[in-house]
Amino acid sequence: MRANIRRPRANSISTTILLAFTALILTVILATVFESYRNTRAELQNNAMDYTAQLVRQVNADIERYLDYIKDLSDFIVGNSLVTTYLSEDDLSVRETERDRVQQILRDAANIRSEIYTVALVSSDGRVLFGSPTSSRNPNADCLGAEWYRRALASPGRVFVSSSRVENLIAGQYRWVISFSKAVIGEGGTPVGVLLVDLKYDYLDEICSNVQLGSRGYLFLADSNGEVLWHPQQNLIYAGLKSESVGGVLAEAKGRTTYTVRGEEKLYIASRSEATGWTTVGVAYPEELLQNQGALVRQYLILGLISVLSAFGVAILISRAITNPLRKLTQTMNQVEQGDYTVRSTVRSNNEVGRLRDSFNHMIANTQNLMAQIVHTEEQKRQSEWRLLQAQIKPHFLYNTLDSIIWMSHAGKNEEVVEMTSALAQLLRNSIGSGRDIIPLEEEIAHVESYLVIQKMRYRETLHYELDIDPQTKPCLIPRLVLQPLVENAIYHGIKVKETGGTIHIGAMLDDDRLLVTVEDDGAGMTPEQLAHIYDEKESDEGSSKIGIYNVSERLHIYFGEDAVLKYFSEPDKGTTAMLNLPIRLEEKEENNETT
Amino acid sequence: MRRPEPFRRLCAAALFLLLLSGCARTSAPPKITLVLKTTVETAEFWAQVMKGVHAAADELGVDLTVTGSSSETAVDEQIGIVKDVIADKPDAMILVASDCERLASVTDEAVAAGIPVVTMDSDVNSPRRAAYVASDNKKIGRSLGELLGQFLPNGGKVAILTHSVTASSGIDRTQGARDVIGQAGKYDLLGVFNCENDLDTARALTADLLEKHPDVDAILCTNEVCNIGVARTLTQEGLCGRVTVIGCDNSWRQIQYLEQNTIQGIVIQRPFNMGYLAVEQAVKVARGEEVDEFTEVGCVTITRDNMYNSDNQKLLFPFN
Repeated sequence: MRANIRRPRANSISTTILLAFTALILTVILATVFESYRNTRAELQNNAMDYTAQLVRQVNADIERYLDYIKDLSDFIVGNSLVTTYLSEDDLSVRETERDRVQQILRDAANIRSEIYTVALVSSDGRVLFGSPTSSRNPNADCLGAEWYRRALASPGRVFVSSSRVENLIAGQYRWVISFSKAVIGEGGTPVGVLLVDLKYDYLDEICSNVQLGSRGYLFLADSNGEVLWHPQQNLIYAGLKSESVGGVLAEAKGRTTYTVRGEEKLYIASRSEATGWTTVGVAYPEELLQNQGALVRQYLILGLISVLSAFGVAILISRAITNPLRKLTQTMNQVEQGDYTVRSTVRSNNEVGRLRDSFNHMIANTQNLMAQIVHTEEQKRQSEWRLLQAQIKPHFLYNTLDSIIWMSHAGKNEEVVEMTSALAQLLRNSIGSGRDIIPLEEEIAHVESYLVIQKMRYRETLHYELDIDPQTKPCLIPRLVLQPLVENAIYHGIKVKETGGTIHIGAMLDDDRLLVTVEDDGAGMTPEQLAHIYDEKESDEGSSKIGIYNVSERLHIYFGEDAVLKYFSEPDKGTTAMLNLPIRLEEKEENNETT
Repeated sequence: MRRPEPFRRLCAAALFLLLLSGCARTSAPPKITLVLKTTVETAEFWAQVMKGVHAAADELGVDLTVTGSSSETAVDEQIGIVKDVIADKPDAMILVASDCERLASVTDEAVAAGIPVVTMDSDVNSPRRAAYVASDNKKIGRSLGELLGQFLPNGGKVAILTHSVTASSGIDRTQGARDVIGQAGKYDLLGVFNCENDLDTARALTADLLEKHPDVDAILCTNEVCNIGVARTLTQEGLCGRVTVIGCDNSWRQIQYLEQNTIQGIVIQRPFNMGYLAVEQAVKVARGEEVDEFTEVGCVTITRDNMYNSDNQKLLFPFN
């Protein structure tokens, strides 16, 4: 029982509360944590994207600034009158004198920056002058038909920026370059030639490959036609083994697009340069932009876990606070259930449980009172029953005795009438006399003796009796009318049924702290079956004597409790012995008198 | 006290989430060994192949080892090297066989040892090799013939100069070209001449040809050596542009001849792609994936007019 109370059952209040709380809190916490995780993640991603965009713009600006510089350089050369003169002069000798000075200008320009591959002037009649005197012209190169030449002439005053191309102008050399070309305008306002500045393509490598966008992100350049100008995997792209979604990115007005490649998101951030028409595109992996996403996830997981655990703990505390008083109250109720009406619940609570406790305590008090009343009533009932029995026995015996007296009077046996009448008088006196329930053994013996005198006169020679009373036993207290039923029993069931009659021996002695009283007869005796039923409550076929024995036994228990013993020993044709084994009790009054 | 059920579930859920977040995607890089014909190869073609190989190895995260014989004709040495590779137990092997027949058995050995073999450029005669990555030499030959049709639409006298009559590339290219020429029906094939991949022989054969057939209209060359030999002889003889020369492979010398109009057209392979695709196939094979038995790398036809096209210059002038 006790163990059951402690174990939380599936349908107990505490489990219900715990489940409800946990479910509620879990939902709220998970939703909150998930939402804030998403927000933080989105914010971080935005930051990373902004950072990437900034980086891309930065690179774009760097390139633009650099190209501006090259354009300025071109403008400077083109604006130089020596250059114009050199290109437009028809006189060979003049041209020859100018040649070295113009070449010097070109060489100086080319030497300013190491990434300039070549600076060359191409006249409209196909003459080519290189900045470097060691460079010689590739005779097979068709420079007047080249795109850079035609485009420069087509829009004089502007610098044409080519896409990446192979420069074949110098004999024996083929090099990837970006070409800048600008028409040189002669005195008449007509173009006399074109200035070509080739920038080493490798330079783009230097600018772009250093830019890191996460560990896998990268940067690429596209020209105005949507062709890839520079790419970290240029070889693969030019070999057709890889492709880059350039067109879609350039078409996107916002400059931000997301593509999903092989199940992974790729973010394209583009920045277009108006001056060159080029577009710098940063490619980043959004997953990777969150560099410490793992840490973020862990952080939120731990946060969520702590919240959930603490919420769970609080739920346990709350459910305990509610169910513990109930559990204590239940324990008290169980004690009451087992018969202990003295306990009171001490649960400390001011709420409904407190009121329940008060009602319970009140109820227990009431029940206790009722129980005490019941015990009292029961006692009274038993006593009245005994008095009734006493009253029942008397007339029965009285009539017989009176009949005997009448019979003896008729026979003229005056002496015997006197004796029997005085014995009867003594018997009645004893019976009614004090009205006390418990009397000294001495009085009970006197009572039994009066009874025996009467019976002796009725049964004459068939009944003999002997008294053997230890004087020390005389003050010992025993319930009234305890011995008489035993003697009565001996007469009716022992002596009377035996033709030769018999003797009743009544003895009283002290044995240690016990009072032993025996009523012994040598009459008919009893079979073991008869003996077994002798204490039975009701078996009234043999008259009232058996009721007497039950009654004796009952009353002895009332007075002495389990300490009083009434035992019968019997053998057929040999007799019966009734033995009382009682604790010694003396009259309190006398003891009090003696002590005071 | 026994733990209440919700608590256990909570713990389980938390543990599950932790496990999920802790999951990491890692796999060991495949170990692949490339056995070349020779490691001392100086041809630009092979330099480009190796660029493709390294690009793929970087891209796909391959633990790459490159080995090979001391010369292109050292077949026994290559067999020994393959045996060493078998002992080293890589996840896959890429083989450029120096001999189609003689490397077949050692290829079988490798496959039996659990090392899948991918052949590149030159195949072995073994049905057990997993994949073959190469150009289709017959297709290259046919492209030669088709280019001829572009430059000599009215027919003429044609000679074919080949680098080999035993190597599959020489045989197949010659055959492809002959097929197209034969189908056209308007060309007079003067003969197939074998220079055995020797420049001087090629020059001598050309000179001989010009002497015997001064009216030759076109010479088809099956590789770079033949091409250069023909171009030099024509330059020497001052016959540039008079005889149509159509060649194979890519080199800056050929580009110059193309610019000079000594050579009218070339059919180029894509060596970078070959190297890249071979590694890609080897990685797939090492992972146990299904692959096509033959991967064609493809070829491109280049003429003087289109050589500086945006796309073609990318092929002719590879990036570093």
